[in-house]
Amino acid sequence: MNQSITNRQIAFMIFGVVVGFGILGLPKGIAEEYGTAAWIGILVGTIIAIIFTYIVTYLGYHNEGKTLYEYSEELVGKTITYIFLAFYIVYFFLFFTFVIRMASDVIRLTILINTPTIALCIIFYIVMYYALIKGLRGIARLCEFYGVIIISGYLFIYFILASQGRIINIRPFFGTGEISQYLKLPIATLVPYVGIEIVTFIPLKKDKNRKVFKYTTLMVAFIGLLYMIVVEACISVIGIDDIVHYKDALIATIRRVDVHWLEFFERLDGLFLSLWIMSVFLTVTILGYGTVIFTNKIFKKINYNVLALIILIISLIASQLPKTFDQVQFLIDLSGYIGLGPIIIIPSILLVVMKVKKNNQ
Amino acid sequence: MIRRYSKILIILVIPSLILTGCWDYQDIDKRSIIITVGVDHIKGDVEFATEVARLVPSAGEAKIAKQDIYKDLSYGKTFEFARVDYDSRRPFPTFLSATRVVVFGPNYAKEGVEPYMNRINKMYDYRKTLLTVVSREPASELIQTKVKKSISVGFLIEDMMTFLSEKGTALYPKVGEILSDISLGDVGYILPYIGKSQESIKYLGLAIMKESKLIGTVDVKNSEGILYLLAEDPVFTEIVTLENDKENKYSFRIKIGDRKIKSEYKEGKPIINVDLELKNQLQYQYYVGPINDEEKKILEKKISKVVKKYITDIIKRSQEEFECDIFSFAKYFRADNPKVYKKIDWSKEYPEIKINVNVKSKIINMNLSDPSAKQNY
Repeated sequence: MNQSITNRQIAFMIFGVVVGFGILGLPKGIAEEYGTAAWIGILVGTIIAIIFTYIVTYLGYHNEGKTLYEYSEELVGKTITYIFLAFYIVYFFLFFTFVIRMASDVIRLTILINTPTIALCIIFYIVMYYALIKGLRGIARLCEFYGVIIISGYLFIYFILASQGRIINIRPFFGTGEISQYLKLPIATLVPYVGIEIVTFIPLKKDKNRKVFKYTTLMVAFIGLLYMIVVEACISVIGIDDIVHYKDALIATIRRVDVHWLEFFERLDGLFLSLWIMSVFLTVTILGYGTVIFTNKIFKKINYNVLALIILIISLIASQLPKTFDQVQFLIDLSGYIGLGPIIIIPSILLVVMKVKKNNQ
Repeated sequence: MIRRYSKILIILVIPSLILTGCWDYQDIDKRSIIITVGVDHIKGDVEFATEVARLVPSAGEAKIAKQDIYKDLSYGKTFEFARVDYDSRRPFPTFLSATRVVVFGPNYAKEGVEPYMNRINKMYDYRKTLLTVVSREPASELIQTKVKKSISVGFLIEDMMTFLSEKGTALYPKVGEILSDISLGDVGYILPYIGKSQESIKYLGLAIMKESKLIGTVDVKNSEGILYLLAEDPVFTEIVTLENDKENKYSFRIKIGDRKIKSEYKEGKPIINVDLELKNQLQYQYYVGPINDEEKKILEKKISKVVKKYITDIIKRSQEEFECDIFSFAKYFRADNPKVYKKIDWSKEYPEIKINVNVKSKIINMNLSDPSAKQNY
């Protein structure tokens, strides 16, 4: 299913996959590590993420029309490629499965108190299956369409939040000023960027996607900016001491704000949750597509649509296995950390091999 | 044939299935909609005094619901047992999303309101922007008041507090803001203080909360100092006189132009500097007479002096009587000196810290009157 897509669609796919479930707990995670210097942490994370986005895009661009499976086979051989692929498949699968479960749990705990989690999960899977069988182009178009709505809606909400916050809550801007505060391992700030590796399964064309580097890196920079706005807005409303108590820091913040002049939208949580569910849907669809397309490379004989159905059914069963919220949280965190492999380690290995091979020639 | 119309069929069928609503929905008149919750401690038990709205479809026009309010009391060793008690009295499930105000009775407020604040925070249906107040009388007595000025005690308190805070003469602290102060730990906070008066409800002033416990109150007449420091965009009225003519009073409308709170750490002591710039507008003189530039300056100085006294008096009270930082100065000190703040115990230091108040005021207009008008004819 080699389908080329435009630069803009690639950029929006990155947005769709990266900004999803994680934005809910992002302010808590970053505030816990960096305090009021949260923006510095995000800045560091964004710069690192931009570098790896560049690497992943570079690999795709210089191996025209191929996905990771094809160019990895050429570079490091079949066996290692299968190991890589297995890594990607497991990670994509874990991530989208438990994001669906977690998102359903959050929806159940916040708005649909009496709805069973499995019912919400099944709805996610049904819609996701429909999107998956439409292929990469369909998903890319969906990302473009939803992306614009999500970005404008999010910006509106975050600026409203910021307008209700207090500057004193985000001071001191540079934290306590201790160097150790800034030199922390930026894993907490890198995990929110897992998803940028989806470029590995998008075949790029040199003539059509000439400016792709600009699009992908600028999108990651934009996501960084969005993260900064949301984290600072949340801290300005709730305060650094309280925000660390909420796993759903963003919803907690939104619930503390009442904007009378917005009349119908006086309470922003309804608007936010619909946008958030849209963005979760994009994340799981793209990662689901990644799982199916890479699995399809191994099981070439199985029809794509049938394979998608099988994977989603397995995923639905797997999503119901964890019994407690903490177990789901653990699995999401775990897949986030595993995700750093496909972002950092595998692309770096491939890049080095590619450079070495080129030099030898 | 079917293919041709399949899309239209889908469009017709799906919305008609979805838009009919959930199979287990409950009508609004099948819920006990709570308007006001009073929380108090009576003889070792938690007491919930509530105002509940009952929506009754009026005869003939089923769509228009008639509103009626009833009050009930429930008791239990804990909040949870008290809830069991009121659930067993009510015809329909309790619905808290429409609650206007939570009233803490004096007994409960003295013991500490933090558990109930956390309950509001984590209960799914409570709004986090709810208003909480402390009452002078037991919460049940206040809620049982038959008010004529509004449809219920809860609405009356909410309307009153909204109007007063918009005018800048009262504070409207939301639960969310209070929770942030509680998390900071080193600061106290302020809740509106209300009570019964002439068979109605009256705003009495401010309740001072230290470690979430009621430790004192500030009468509405003495609350200006707090409002000058904490109210958002307040407007005050001040009366001043000139030395040579005590009879003629000058009524000024005062707004805050700039409010800066800065801090420093000198010789092992935190210092807070409060700088206020006031913008004054003469509303009227009791007796019309000329005002020259020199007199204007004297009036400006007098206003500064009056306002400064309000502020220094209440700060002194907070340090000596309440021994509690109710102005959140801690946040400013932490912002300026994060390293020092980590080392010191702010709540212990607070009664001893030096707080400098500097008030500048300027008369920016005379309400279109011309005090130096020439009367030649």
